[in-house]
Amino acid sequence: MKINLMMDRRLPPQPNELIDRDQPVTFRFEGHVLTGYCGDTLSSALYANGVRMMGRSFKYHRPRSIYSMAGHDANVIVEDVGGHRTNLRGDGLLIEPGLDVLAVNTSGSLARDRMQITERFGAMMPVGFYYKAFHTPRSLFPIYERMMRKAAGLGRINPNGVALNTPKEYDFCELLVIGAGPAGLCAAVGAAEQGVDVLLVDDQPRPGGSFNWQLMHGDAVQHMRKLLADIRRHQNITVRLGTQAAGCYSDSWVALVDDQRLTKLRAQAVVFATGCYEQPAVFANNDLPGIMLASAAQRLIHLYAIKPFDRAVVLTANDDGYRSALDLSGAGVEVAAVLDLRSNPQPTKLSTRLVDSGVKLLLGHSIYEAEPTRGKQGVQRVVACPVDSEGHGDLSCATVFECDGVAVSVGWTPASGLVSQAGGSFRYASENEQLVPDSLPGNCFTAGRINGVFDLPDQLADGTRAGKMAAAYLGKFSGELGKPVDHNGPAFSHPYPIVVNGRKKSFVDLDEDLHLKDFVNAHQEGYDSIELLKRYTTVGMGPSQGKLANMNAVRILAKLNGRSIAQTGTTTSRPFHQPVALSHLAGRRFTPVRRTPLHAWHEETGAVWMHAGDWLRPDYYRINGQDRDGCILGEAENVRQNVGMIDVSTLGKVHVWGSEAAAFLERIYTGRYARQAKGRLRYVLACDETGVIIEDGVAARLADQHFYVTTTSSGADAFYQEMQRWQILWGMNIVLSNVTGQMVAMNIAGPRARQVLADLTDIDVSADAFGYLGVFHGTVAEVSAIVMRVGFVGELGYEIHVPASQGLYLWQKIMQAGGRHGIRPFGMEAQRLLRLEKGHLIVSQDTDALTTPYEANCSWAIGRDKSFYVGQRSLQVLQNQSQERVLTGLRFDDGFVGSLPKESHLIFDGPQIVGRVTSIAPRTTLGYPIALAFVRPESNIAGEPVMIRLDDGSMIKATVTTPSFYDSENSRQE
Amino acid sequence: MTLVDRVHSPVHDALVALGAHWAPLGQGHVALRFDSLENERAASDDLSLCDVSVLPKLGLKGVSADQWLLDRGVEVPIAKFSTSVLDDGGFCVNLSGHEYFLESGLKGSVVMSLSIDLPLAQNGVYRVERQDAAFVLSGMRAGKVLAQVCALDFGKMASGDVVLTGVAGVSCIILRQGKSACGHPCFRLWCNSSYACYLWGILVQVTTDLDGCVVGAAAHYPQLAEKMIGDS
Repeated sequence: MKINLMMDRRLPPQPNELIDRDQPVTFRFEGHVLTGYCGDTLSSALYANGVRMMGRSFKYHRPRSIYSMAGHDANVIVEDVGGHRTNLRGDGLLIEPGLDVLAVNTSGSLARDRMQITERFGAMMPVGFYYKAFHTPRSLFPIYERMMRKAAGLGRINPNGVALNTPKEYDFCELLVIGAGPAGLCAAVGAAEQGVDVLLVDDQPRPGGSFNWQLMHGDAVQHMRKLLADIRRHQNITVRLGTQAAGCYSDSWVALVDDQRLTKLRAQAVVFATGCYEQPAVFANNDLPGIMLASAAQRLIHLYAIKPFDRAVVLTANDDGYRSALDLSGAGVEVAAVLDLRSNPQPTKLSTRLVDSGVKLLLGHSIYEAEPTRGKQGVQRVVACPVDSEGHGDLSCATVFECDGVAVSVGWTPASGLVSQAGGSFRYASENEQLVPDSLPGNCFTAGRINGVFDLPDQLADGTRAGKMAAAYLGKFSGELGKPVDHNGPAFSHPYPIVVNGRKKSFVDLDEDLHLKDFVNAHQEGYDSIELLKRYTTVGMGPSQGKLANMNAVRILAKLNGRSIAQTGTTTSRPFHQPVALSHLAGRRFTPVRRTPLHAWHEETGAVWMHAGDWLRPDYYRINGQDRDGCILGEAENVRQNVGMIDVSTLGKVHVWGSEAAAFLERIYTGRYARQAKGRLRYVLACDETGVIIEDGVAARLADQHFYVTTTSSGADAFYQEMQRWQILWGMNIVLSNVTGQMVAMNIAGPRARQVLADLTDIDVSADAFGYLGVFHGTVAEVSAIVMRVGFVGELGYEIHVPASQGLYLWQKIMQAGGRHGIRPFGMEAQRLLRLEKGHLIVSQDTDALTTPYEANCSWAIGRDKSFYVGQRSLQVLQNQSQERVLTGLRFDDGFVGSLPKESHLIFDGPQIVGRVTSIAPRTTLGYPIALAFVRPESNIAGEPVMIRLDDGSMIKATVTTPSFYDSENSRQE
Repeated sequence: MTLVDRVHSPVHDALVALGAHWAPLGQGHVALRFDSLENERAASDDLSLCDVSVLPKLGLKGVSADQWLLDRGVEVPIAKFSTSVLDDGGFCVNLSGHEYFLESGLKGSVVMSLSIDLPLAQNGVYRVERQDAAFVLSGMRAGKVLAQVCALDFGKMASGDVVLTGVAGVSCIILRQGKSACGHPCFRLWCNSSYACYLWGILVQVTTDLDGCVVGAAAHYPQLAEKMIGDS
């Protein structure tokens, strides 16, 4: 790629230029150092430096360049060199010092792209070829897949990329006006004058829209100045520039995206003044660098002060084309000819001025073919000829024009995506040869070119009317709206700007490299509806999402089917309007984490953390020189021999008050609580209505009408919701209060637990006064506490519950007092080991979504002769059925050597699965491995062997035993 | 780890890490300031975040809860999700018609005396342990922080209004305070203390992204300005 660094296509300063000539900027493109100005985009800066080839097309790797200069095409896409950004659009990427980018979709370099050879095999790659090839022979599919993966897609992801924390925010407004062009400005002012709070957004860095690059003469300038002054004057108009409305969702929820953040906006009403996309003409080689939309050429001239061509041909079918030809002349471009697709257009001021200036005008003509320069890196001439309404050219009357550029202005299609997403529909207005809004939700309004209104006075009136309509909807205007504005004049769009050329590619979709023949072939294969055609050809599925392709595709299909545009229909538009960086969608992530008040203490003490739902809990405490298993076993042994303390603040904790508190517990749990004595606690087991275990814990009766209930840590919130649901359904006289996060709980366990506690509390903790399953309300270290005798780990144990703000203080006091008794903290893993030795199950560890109390060996927890509890009926039915499994203990041979099973490893009887391991501990305080497992009831006999399959398929033997491996007489915990 | 106070803010360690200067408050200490008082007062006018979790709190519910409070001279807010100001400058929040949440002012006198009087349960009044974290988000741009963490339109919230909503995924009570004790517009957020460190971290992140800062309680309570006992 030859870059002539000496060429400077800059024009003298233009009134609306965006560049700052006092701030030159140096950047790199494809390894070449170039200079532009602050305010230049990559596309404009490259073009100003004479760079024509800026990208390679998706399939054929043909050279591509500026086409819309508005981000409506995907010809110029780049990625940072060694950076974190990819798939950046050149039309919108502002150059800045240090910018260093490469074109995407090249192999080697843009200039020497190895994949450009692909076009030579174009005949073997007709539309949909990948549906018909690459699946046989099957043995080659891995190779095909690798090839396709490498060839497909755009851009590269940097695996070492740094995650960005972009902000996302919510916002609200009365009226959102999308588009700050002539109609949008009028809509905003029109509504604001009625007292509406307006948010006006535009994706450009400056308001004005086409005022800035097209409507720049005569009255237009005055109108723009007045409107901008009105905008500034109204305190109730907020303007956000450089902001796109990326998508419109239910209830007028609009995603606004700028370079910093995503705003989730809720508007009460919306005016869509989103304008139109200028449309391409289809002719042979219409994708060459140097061929662009007329509006692109005008943007280059007026916004970036760049002379687009030296010698140009203008192809048009409306007044905009004549305006652009005059603009080109004004910028020093020699306009070789203007070709008007229309055979007999009414002369206008602009066309007359053009003709009077001496420019050659050919009516009823189009470009048949553009001839490329060497390597297809530019255009050197065009062949023009008369064209009929079917797109057939009469080459006998052809004229050749030497040129280095073509400006195309053959029509417009509304930027309808957001309106469709909002629930609006469009119809084809044949008088405009354009889609126009047909129906809109009540709070949505459209204004300007999207309504098929093109003349400036009409656009302004249409915008003002839309603003007033929105104000009326919001209850702030009740005056006359005036008649709707209609376009009276020739259509601005040509009904069929397509020329048939059997030999060369005439591109319809630049993104997907689809040309006219592809559509003919697809139609011949039977894809004759717009939805099928879209999916088979992939038209409109590229980065620009059909902004420049869909309308022509519809026109072509209508012609092939012999139907009208209205009968052919369009496809569904979905967000996003323009690409949105994943960083914006991800944004700052909210992943709540819960910590107990003792967290910092655990951290300082070497806790290794684990996630238990939202909570962070100590898994174990790291000791230098010991591995994980050694640390866990050490903690467990200390509990067995001395005393340990564990932070159990994560347990669910619920107060149940009221005259029917006991009755409530009787209903939601399987056990009996009506006669539970004050100062005693009982185990609770809850089932759902199918009889499946969902929760367990303890219920402490603090007073006649007051229970304090615990739940599992992970089930606390859900079970509290269940309790509330039952309260509402039953209407019982109870009051519930969830104090899970308001209370700290700590469990002191071990033979010396009593000694540690005795000096700290006013409660008599002697064995006689405070027996197993007792509960007292008193103080510990002067902190008001609920103290319970529990036995989860099989040792003498006290569980102390105190207000959270005093939890750390108390924990420290107990650790201090326990120092001489050998107190150590113990974590989750040690607790799991200790309770496993005791044979105590953990809900959701040793139970699953089908486990009933019978299977879990918990039928003892079902109260007899209860009139009702949740799950009762199901359990009554199940009791009469044969049981398929039961939870039991397993031990392994003494001196076992080898790999032990893991949790969930299956138990087999021959080829049949008959159970699984639920919990296992390879190292225990008992000196041998143990497990809990589901086995068949008939196998639940002490000494019965079972076979467990390991990951590698080998089988090992275990022996059924009573699940209470440790202290089966409960002498230590009681 | 040195022995801590009886009463301890859930974000105490985060405040230590920021270099808080402390002052005794009740059974604990409050982060008094991090920078000069002038700077922090200026920041509170613009955008600042402050932890006041050590202020004593109390909750109660039941059909007789409102009468119980009235009998003890507390002005009870009548409407749901509204507030009244306590004699010691704190707040009484009506959460649901039969549930109230109180946070005392600096002296803590109202909550402390009510706490002594309130048993666990009696005659239709039930004590609800409240150990919520409490943060004050103040300044003209406080709404900008809330816009990034909460989907509510705070522009429509009147002074004294309360909402129960989600903030960065955490359930919170938010009071639009109107103005703080020092005259700054502000919001008061209460959340379950187990989420406090997480939520504080998010709020600090967003506040500092927006060029706000963390301030001490002295910025909001002029009477604290005289107290400082040195570094923690």
